[in-house]
Amino acid sequence: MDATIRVNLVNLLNEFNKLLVLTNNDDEEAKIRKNRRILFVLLEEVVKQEIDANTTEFREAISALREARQKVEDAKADIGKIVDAIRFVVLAAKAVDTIVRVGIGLIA
Amino acid sequence: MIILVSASKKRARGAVIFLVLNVMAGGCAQTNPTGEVGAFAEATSSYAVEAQQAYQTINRVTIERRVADLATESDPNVLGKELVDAKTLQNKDTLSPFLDGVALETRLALLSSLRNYANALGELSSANYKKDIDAAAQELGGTFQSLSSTLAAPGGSETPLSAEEAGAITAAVSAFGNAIVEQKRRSAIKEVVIQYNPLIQRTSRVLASGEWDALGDLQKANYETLYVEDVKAYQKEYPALSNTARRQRLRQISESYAAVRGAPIFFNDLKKASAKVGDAHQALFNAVSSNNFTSQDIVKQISELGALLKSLSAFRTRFENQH
Repeated sequence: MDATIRVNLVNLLNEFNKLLVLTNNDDEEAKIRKNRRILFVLLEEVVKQEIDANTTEFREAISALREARQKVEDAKADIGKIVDAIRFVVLAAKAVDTIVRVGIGLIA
Repeated sequence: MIILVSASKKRARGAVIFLVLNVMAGGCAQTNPTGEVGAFAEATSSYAVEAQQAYQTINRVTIERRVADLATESDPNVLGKELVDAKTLQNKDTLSPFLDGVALETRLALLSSLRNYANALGELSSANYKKDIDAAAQELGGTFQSLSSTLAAPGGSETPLSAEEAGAITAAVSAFGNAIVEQKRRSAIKEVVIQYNPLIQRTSRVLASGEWDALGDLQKANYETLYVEDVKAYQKEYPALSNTARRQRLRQISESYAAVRGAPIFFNDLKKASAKVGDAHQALFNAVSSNNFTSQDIVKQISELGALLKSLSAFRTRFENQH
């Protein structure tokens, strides 16, 4: 229904634009432009109604997409933990080395 | 680890070489997921940017069309009324964006969210942990060598590890670390793509709805009106123009006409690209569901999305500064 109204409005606008090119009479031009202005107000309104009707669907998808992104970020952080684990072992081994050195020092 | 250092050198060397070969053999059997997932991410991100800019362009050209219409008005009272609200001194509809408030913000936010998801997926597929793992493994090998030297010192109970043996430990940890990362990366991509495929399909359907047809109709009417007003202005002004100036004006009119012809193609391509994002994610879903990270279908869908994006970008670049 909306699409039919919209297409008819666009076709009418197209016809008025053709008329505007053909005429050289200032009064006729003014009338054509006035009608064209009215048609544009109607066209904008019809398109806006169509847009507004869809807005809820758009809004519903946003939070789910944000959650999806967070999940990917979490997975990335989780993979980074492998590097952290190796670094932790390095730190642990260094600590053991230090303790052993101290122990050997005490024995000697 | 300390047990490994304390073990006999022969056994340690044998175990390390065995582990390195096993891990490397396992790692080589898998393909790197970076390619197609990254290409999907890049194409989806570019699509989101084009779609966001399309909304802004509709606003800009709609205002231009209203201004062009107002420029033909000769009644000063009408002019004043169209531009300024006498009571509030705020802009009247002529200068107001066609789309604003919740309607615009919601669409831009959805496209940003889609873009962020795609970018995060792309980063997950291409993030390079190898350098960090190799550096950490190198440090670990050095630390073990130092530890074994400490244990072999007078009063200690071991013989020190050779540089070769420390290198073998480094290689083993590095190979293990990288293999685990790739395994986890694949598993995460698979889980995310499978879990969120219905959402991406829904988002793609919403974006590919008839809305672009409606906006395309408005934009074509905008461009057509701007073109006609260019022609009308030329009809009135050409007697006073030099031949060079006339040719310049006619070239401008030709560009206006190109925009009229191109607008329906642009919005049709935008609609197709919106659907193609869903198709490409579906192809990704089909591939990862059978533990593959590449397929002919993914390549085909992303290639088609790329061609649409090229067309969208060409139109936008050509007409973004027009009028």
